[in-house]
Amino acid sequence: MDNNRDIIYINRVLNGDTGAFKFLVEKYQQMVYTLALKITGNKEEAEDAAQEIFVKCYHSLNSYNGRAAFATWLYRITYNHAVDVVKRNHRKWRTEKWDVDVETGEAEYYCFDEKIDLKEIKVLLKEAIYKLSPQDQVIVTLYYYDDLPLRDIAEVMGIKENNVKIKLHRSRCRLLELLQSKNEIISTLNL
Amino acid sequence: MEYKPGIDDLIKNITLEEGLQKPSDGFTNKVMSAILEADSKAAVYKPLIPKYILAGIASFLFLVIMFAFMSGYRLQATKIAWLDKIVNGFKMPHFSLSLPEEISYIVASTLVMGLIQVFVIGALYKRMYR
Repeated sequence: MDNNRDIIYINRVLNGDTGAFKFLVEKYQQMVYTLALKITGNKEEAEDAAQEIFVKCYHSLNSYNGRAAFATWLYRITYNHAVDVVKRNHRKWRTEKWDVDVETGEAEYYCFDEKIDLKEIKVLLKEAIYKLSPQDQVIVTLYYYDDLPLRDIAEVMGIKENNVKIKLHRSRCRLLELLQSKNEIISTLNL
Repeated sequence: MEYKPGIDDLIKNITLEEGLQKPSDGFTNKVMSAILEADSKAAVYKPLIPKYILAGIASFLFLVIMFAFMSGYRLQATKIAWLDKIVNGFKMPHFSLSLPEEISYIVASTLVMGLIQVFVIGALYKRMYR
């Protein structure tokens, strides 16, 4: 199991082999950076935050009790630290730009009359995903990319599993609403 | 809004295709350098008052209390003569010191505050050098 391998390296670090921590950094750096980027919305901040997160993780390794997977524990540190960075810089969470963009019709450059292929649908959906709130983007990334169970996502974000389900459902529905506004896309996809 | 399974697969495909963002080159080395730097900066905690001085103060106070106790109290004679001589032979040097009441209170309060400060500053040092 993947987590067993992580635990081997954690034990080596705890026994004084600092170099063993490199394995964990290389394994999780992209996910940690991606999550930090989704929350902070700024590449430099996200990279600084990711660095601080790994240093924090290294110094807190002796408090990891193995109840949850190491990835879940690390992502929780990532989420909390990234949120603190945003608050520290006195910024409010980026809110969804979903409704605003639909109202101003920015999505309408996809012309109804043109043949819409799957590639364009994906581009449309990709843009729509980026417009979700940071929290919803984190849930989408952890659920679809990392296949993290809802229970673990709830633990990462410090919210109830039910809330995660609702947010995920809401994100899906909003993305589907975008597609349904383009009737030709729906018939193409047979959704 | 009814949930339709097709959208789930589409989101999953897009998420996997998009992949994760990569930090800058040399990120791992930067992290490891930061960790090694933090480790080397960690100072060793030194107690505010060395243990041997604390032990000396405690021993002195213990002796003072024992002398004060023994000089004003004659223990019941035991069957061992030399032990009786030792135990009942101690006499506290007699001295008297009279201070105004206010001064006594000031000295006592200062000593109490000093003892409290020792613990507070000790805890602060422990936190600083953790």
